[in-house]
This record gives sequence, C-alpha cells and structure tokens, in this order.
Amino acid sequence: MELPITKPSMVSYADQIDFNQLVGELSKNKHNGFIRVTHGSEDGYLLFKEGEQIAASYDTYSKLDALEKIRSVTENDRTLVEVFDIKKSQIDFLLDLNKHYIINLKSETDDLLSELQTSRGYKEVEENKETTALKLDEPPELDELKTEAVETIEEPEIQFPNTESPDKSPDTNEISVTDTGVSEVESVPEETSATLDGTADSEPSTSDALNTNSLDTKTIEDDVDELEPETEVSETASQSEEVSEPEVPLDRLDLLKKYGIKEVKEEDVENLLDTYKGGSVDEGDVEKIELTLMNKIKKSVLGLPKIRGAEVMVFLDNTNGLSGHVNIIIESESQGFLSKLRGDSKDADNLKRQIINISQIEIRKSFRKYPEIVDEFDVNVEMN
Amino acid sequence: MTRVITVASGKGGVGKTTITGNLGVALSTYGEETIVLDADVAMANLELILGMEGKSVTLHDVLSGDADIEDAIYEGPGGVKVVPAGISLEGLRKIKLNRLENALETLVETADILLIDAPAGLEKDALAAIASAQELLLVTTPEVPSISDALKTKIIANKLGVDIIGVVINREQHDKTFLTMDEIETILEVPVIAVIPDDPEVSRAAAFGEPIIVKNPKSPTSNAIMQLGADLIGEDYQPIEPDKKGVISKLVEGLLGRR
Repeated sequence: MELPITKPSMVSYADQIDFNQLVGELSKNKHNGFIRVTHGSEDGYLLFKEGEQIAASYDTYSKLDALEKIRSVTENDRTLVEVFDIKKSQIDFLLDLNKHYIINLKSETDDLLSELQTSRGYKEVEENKETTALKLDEPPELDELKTEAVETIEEPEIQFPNTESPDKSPDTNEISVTDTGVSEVESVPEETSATLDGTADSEPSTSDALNTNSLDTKTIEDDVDELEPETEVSETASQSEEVSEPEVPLDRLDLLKKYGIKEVKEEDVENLLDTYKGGSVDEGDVEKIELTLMNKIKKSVLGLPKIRGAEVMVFLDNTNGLSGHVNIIIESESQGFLSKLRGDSKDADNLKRQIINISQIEIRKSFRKYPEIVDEFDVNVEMN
Repeated sequence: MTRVITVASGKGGVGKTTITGNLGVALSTYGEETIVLDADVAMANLELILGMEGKSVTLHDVLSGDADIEDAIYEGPGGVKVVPAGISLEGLRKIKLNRLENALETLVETADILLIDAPAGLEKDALAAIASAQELLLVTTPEVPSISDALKTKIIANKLGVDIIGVVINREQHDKTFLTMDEIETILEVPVIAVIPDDPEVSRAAAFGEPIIVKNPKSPTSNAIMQLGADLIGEDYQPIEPDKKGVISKLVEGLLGRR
C-alpha cells in the first residue's frame, strides 16, 4: 500500500506485544493510522479509520489474504510492528490510492479473524456446521442449537478489534446475553460470508443463533432470509473480492468529504465581495449611508466649542468603488473686535483642521472593516 | 449581441490561458469575430501561447490610461483578435481596474465573442474579469486542489450573477488517482462540457509560440477544443482523424521519395 511513512508512534517486536491487544486498543481508541509489520524483506500494512480496519496489504497479498499473513507473521518474534498516526482527512485520499486493498465489508474482516481464532481451538464449532445450517432452515427450533453451541464454546479468546468497534451491528448491541461465553462470541459476524478456502462458512450462523437468544422467531427468520442470498454470492474468495470493490460515492457531500473539499460559506463569499469595488453597497444603501454620515458628522462638529451651528452634506459615488464628498458649513461664535485684530485666522485654520479630523474619524468609525475608505472622501469646511 | 465569456479557474496552472487562446482561434475559424483579452495583467501568458509577445501597446497601457483599447488590438493566428496584457511589471502600479470596464465596452462593440482570460485566484483583478462577463467557462484539472478552487470561483460567479456555461476538464489522464468526470460534475454542480486530454503536444506548441490547434490540428487536444468551440456557438464539428498510415508505409513512401 502507498502510505505516508513518518515517525512511528510505537515500535516493538512482535514478541514484546500482544498483537491482538494492540489491534483492539487501536479500535477502541478510534485510531486513524496504520500498522506496519516487517518480517525479513516483506512488509505488511493494516490501515485504520476511526478504529476500523479498512485496508490491508502484505507483500503481494491484499485484503483478507494480507490480513491473514499479517496475523501469521506477528506470531514470529522477529517481526517488527510499528504504529503510525495519520490525520483522518488523509485517510480518504489514501483509500483512493489504495483501492485495491480496501476491505469493503466489515464482516469480511470479522469472518477471517474469527475463523483464524476458531481454527485454533474451536474445532467443535466446525463439526456443528451441518447442524447449524439445518437449524437455520428451521428457525423455531434454534433454541436447542443455542444451548449446544454455547456449551461448546467455553473459552473464547477472541479479542479482535471489531468486537469492540463502535460500528458493531445493531443486533449485537441490542441483545443482552448474560452468559459470559456468549458475550465474547458476539464478535463472530452475523452474516455468512466467504472464508479463505472459498467455501461458505456456516459458523457465523452459529453465532447468529447465539446472538438471537432474546429475539423472537420472526427476527430469526428474517435474518436467515438475509443470509441466504449472501451465501450464494460468496461462493469463492475471488468472487467475494469482486463484490467488495468499493462503489464510487456520487452523493455530493460524500464526495466533498472524501476529497477533503470544503464547502464555501456564504459569509466568506460576502466578505470576499466586500473587498471588490465597493460592490457590497447597493444603490439603495447609498442614501442611508449619506444620511447616517451626515448626522454623525454634524453631531460631532456641534460638540466642538465655539461652534454655534453646522450644516453637513454628504454625497457618495458608488460607480467605481465607494467614494464621497463631505461639505461642512459651520457658524462659529462671533469674536470680539480685538481678537480679530490680533489675527485669529490661525484659530480658524485650527478649527477647520479639527473639523476635518472629526469628520474623518466619523467616516472611519462608520466603515470599521474598511477604514482606508477615508482616503476616498474629500472633506471641505466653510466657515461663516 | 456580443457574448462576453470569461475563462476562469481559481487555481493557477491548470491550462486556462492555453484553452482561452486556442478556443479563441477555434471560434475565429468558425467565422465568429472573436477577441481574446488577456486580463491576467500580473501574469500575462496569452501572448506567449499565441506567439504575439513584444507588442508595443498592451492592456497595461490601456489600464494605466496611457493608450486607447483600440490601439491594443492585434490580429493573431486564424484571424482571432488579441488584446495582450503586456508582460512588463513596471506599469502594474499605475493600473486602475475600473478602466477595464470602459475598455470592455469598446471591445464589445467590435466583436461577436469576447473571450476574457481571467487571472487565477480571487483577487480584485480576477473578480473584475469574472464580473465583466455574462458567461463563464470554468477550467479545472481533475485534481482536488484545482476542483476546490474551481468550486470557489463558481460560487463567486453565481453570486455576481454570471451564467456558468460548464466545466472544461483539462489534462485528463484516465488515472484512478484523479477525480472522475461524474465526481467533478457532482461536486461543482455544473455540467462538464469538454474533456481535454493530457497532451505533451500542448507544451511543444507553446514552446514554438503557436496555438496547438494550428500546429497540430489532428491532435486529440485540438479536436477537443474545436469541439468545445463548436458547442459554444451551436456548430457541428467533425474531428480530424490522425494519420493512420503505418510506420512501414511511411518509410516506404519516404524511400520512394513521395514525402
């Protein structure tokens, strides 16, 4: 698989860790990343998305075959096991690059893992295949089978990740089974699916029967109905691989999510257009802005000492970006003859400058997000 | 009535200018009075693709107020009229984008189709080019960043009231790592109207300063662009088949001196 090899978050030899436990923990922690196992010149990868095993490769093997190889090499103490963390957003890209390795059906993994487990110590279950299959055809009599199977499987060691996966099938979650033995066997998937030797395995059906302890007959019948076509479809391993080819999602939101494309927010567009040619100001708004500016500037100017009256006119131009002209006519307090003689033209200039400053401050305050617009305004002051 | 079509992409380097230049030539060969305006004043490349660099008066001069737009129109390959942007960066500061509107008004009077090569990104100059058009052709490559930017451009164009004619997928490679046509259509919610294959001939033609539809009219790229041009104006187009003569027959002909 093509995966980004960075600094591993965990490195260990297989004999120093319990691989099953590691996988279980990664599932529990909803891990996004992958495990790399290196054995001699061969290496294998197991990709996780939110704790779920979604793709596997080992040397030239892929999917379930790869998973089996990974399992087997981790029993060798010279195998190096490394855990890598990656971002969740990367996983969809990586999946796209590694379509060939995607384990499409969760049950496929479960089947394999459970089979690997059962092949070690639960030969009895194999012996019960025929009985189970028969029982499946006769749902009302499943109770007997349940008891039988529960008795057979007494020391389950199944600790594989998907037993703890949050994606557990609703059936498994809902059923409350008091028997400890049964509760751990829940990991055996409920669907009958392909095994490595290509034969339809009825073992999951056993678990199905176990799981349905508290369900009524009708539910069991439904389950059996669902299982039948699946058994027919998955006659050979190769066929099951064909079935597991990922379908291209065509839902827009799925695609956006898959490729990590962000939907453009309305407000972002508005903000962007705000910066463009003053285009955010409608013609209807222009008059309102003129009036608001007029009142604000007038109020500020009248707050100055020596000002007896003020008339403010604001004219905006929104053709090529917003710009404007502000004309202010003020009436200042009359000064005494002596003051005039002393030459108060300096004071008048100061007052004019003060009024211009106040007006510009008001313009800036009115366009807080775009204060530089003040450069587009001419302010003229006339004194009366 | 003159059609004003802006070719925009969002992301740079997707082949927008190449498509604009070649599409302009294609439309011109169909008999449409076509003007191609390079509005990418900061990164002007159209003149290089059409082999028209070094023109004395360019859009730079027009936007700087130093020349009239009429003086910046030149005849290019296949009879297409071209307004080069001017490669000089010196005049950039003097440019006032609001002069673009006045220039466009003049151009519209003299053409059937005005094709505007918009700058990449969504800066003021790009927005000005998009806002100036009635219609928009969205160019993208089948890669995620390109489509992400195309999506933004599309939304902005919608907001500005510009009709989006469709998406042109450039540099299609039939590679599973890229997005499929259906996926692009679904994400952008705009129909794909042309798929232009990845073609090294395009770079070769640009290096020669010739539009590919002139240099190599039988190439799949040329056929795709000619078809796009035909679709835009409702014409029929019969693709030109590449030579099917085998190597041996060509060799024999060569030996016999027929070539």
